[in-house]
Amino acid sequence: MESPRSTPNRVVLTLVCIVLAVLLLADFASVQANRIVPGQGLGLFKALGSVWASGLIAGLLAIAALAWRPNPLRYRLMLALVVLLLCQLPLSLAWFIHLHIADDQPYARAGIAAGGWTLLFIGSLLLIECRQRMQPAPFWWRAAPLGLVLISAWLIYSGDLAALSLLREYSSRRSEFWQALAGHLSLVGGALLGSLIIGLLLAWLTLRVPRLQRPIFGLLNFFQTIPSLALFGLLIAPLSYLANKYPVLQGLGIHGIGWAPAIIALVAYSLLPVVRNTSVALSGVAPAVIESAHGMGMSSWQVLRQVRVPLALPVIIEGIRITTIQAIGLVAVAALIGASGFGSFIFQGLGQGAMDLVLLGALPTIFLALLADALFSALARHCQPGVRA
Amino acid sequence: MTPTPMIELSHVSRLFDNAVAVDDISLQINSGELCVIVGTSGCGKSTTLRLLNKLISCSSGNIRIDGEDIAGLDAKLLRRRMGYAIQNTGLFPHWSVERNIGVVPTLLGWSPEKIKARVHELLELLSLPYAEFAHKFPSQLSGGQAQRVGVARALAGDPDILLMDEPFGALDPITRDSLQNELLRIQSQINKTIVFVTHDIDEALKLATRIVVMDKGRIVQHDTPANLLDRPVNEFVQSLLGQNERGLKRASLEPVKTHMQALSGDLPEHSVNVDDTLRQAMSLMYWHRTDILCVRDADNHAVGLLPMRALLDSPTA
Ligand SMILES: Nc1ncnc2c1ncn2[C@@H]1O[C@H](COP(=O)(O)OP(=O)(O)O)[C@@H](O)[C@H]1O
Ligand SMILES: [Mg+2]
Repeated sequence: MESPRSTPNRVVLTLVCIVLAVLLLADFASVQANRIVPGQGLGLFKALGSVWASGLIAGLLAIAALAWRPNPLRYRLMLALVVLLLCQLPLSLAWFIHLHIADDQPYARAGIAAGGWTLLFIGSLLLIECRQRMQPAPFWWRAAPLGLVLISAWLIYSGDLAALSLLREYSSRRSEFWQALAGHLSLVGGALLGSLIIGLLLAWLTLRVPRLQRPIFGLLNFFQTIPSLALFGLLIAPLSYLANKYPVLQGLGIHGIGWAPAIIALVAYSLLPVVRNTSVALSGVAPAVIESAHGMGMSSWQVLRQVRVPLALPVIIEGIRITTIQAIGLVAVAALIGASGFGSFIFQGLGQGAMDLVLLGALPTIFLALLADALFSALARHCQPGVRA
Repeated sequence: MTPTPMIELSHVSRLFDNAVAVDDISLQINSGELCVIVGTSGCGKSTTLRLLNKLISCSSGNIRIDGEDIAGLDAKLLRRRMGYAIQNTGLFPHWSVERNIGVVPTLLGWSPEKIKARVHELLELLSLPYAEFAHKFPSQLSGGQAQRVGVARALAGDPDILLMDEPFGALDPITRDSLQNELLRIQSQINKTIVFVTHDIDEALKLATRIVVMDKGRIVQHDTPANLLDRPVNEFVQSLLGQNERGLKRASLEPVKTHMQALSGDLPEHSVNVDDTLRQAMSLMYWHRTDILCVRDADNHAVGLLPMRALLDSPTA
């Protein structure tokens, strides 16, 4: 039922006001003649030309108008506009480059300024808000993230975005970038594997011997309280000592810095979510269910495998999800002790004051974390016991 | 020669941290009996039941099932021969009704076709149409339906013995009553040895062939429902039976059939069914302010008369 006078959606209205203010008052994008000279910022109308800019403003005003007296149909229209808004972002950048950077300027580069970032950020918030207001959300809301990624990929591939400073940084570090990705993924994977093996074992132990619960959780909680940088640092001395004393370890590539202390620290951090979720989930299965499983004549192993684990799985996977996202972030920090990964770009960029280089490290890290979040959430939903929606 | 009892406990005790939960119990339950263990909460009923399928071990004494001492039997194999149904059903929430019922047959290594046929048969037996219910999950069932599935699951491996621990305890009175009737109907078809635990004396009187009254871990009285009402051994049993209601409870154990008289003269205006109990007949007399009822069979033919005086006669066989 549609009430004759629905109340305005204040969230959407506020978001649109903010993005309009930023677009009109701050720079949308910037151009730099080369990496060294300071860039020159351009406002929305200068950056994209009056046609594109007015179209963008009109679209935002239309969203606000629809949000004034929203109803289901208007939410659909709003969602469609938000999808368009997000999908045109990479195109607008390509257009910006086309307008302001000539092909014969190989060192000139384009940067995204406050307006561009705000549009991306607030566009995502608008997408989330519209999606939540529509139950069920139409499947095509996914066109926004998908379109954003695919269109960007296409424009990168075709060279239309080549002058983007981020891509200029990338093209001068192409092989380093892929090495960083491989390094990042293998450190996260290694930490995950290690913490799963040790964590599941510890969780099983806490169930078998309840007396050990306090010391185990005490220790794991203690690890969590050490700042990551400090833990990385603390591991350098003992590992160098061991590596010097036992050449075998050096042969294995274990040194005071590098992947070894990184993996050890990551595993230490990852254990708490894994052990806690696994232990809580396994012991949280209803006693009546366990009792009848035994009463039916299942062996302890069958009860574990067929009843406890399947019922606990979504919560266990949730623990693994938290661990993975945490590890993706921590590996970036581990660059400080020489572990490979996207963190090396971030810290190099910070050292040189090159924000684009920082972004070259930060954006893939964020992207990996979002990807891991989506994957594990989907997996947990898939493993939900009983009825599936 | 007396037949060997299906279940035999001799001098069985069970301690929990030096507190006695079951205290020197000796008990025999014959094949085909529906033995109800009744008593107040915490008196050791569930513990006694769990001793039978070795979910708990005896501190002393021994238990024989079908003549065999269970101390020497593998617990898993023993349990697969005994159905087990409990209060909150304990259905596996991640499995469909069909898979829940198929648990024990699967453990027993039956073929998939045989399991499917068995699930089909049991669902029909418990008035749950296969097509409608087999693929539902426990969360999609009402309390009564879930409990029926629990009973079906307990029966699935075709066990000789069925252990039931307050299976209808969490149900509303109407659903509970219909499930009790269902259990009696099923028992008349399958004739298992059933040990049924409840704290509800009316449920015990209604279902039992024999009742075991427990108090503080001991057996106070082991008798048929009629004998229990006629000759309670002590005040505890009397209070359990309820002082003022005893007459009505006793009357609900007597069928009209055994008190009716031959037809003669005009038929009385109001009727009672031949399979109803004296309690129901008394209720009808009081309701209609009459002192005589016509007794009719299932086809509504008059088969006898029931004057109020006849209620007081001792039953004819
Ligand atoms: N696993 C156990 N550990 C310790 N005490 C128990 C355990 N199970 C039962 N008891 C105690 O044994 C007594 C009898 O319990 P139970 O057989 O469950 O009673 P009920 O007749 O209500 O089913 C109670 O006092 C209870 O607290
Ligand atoms: Mg109990």
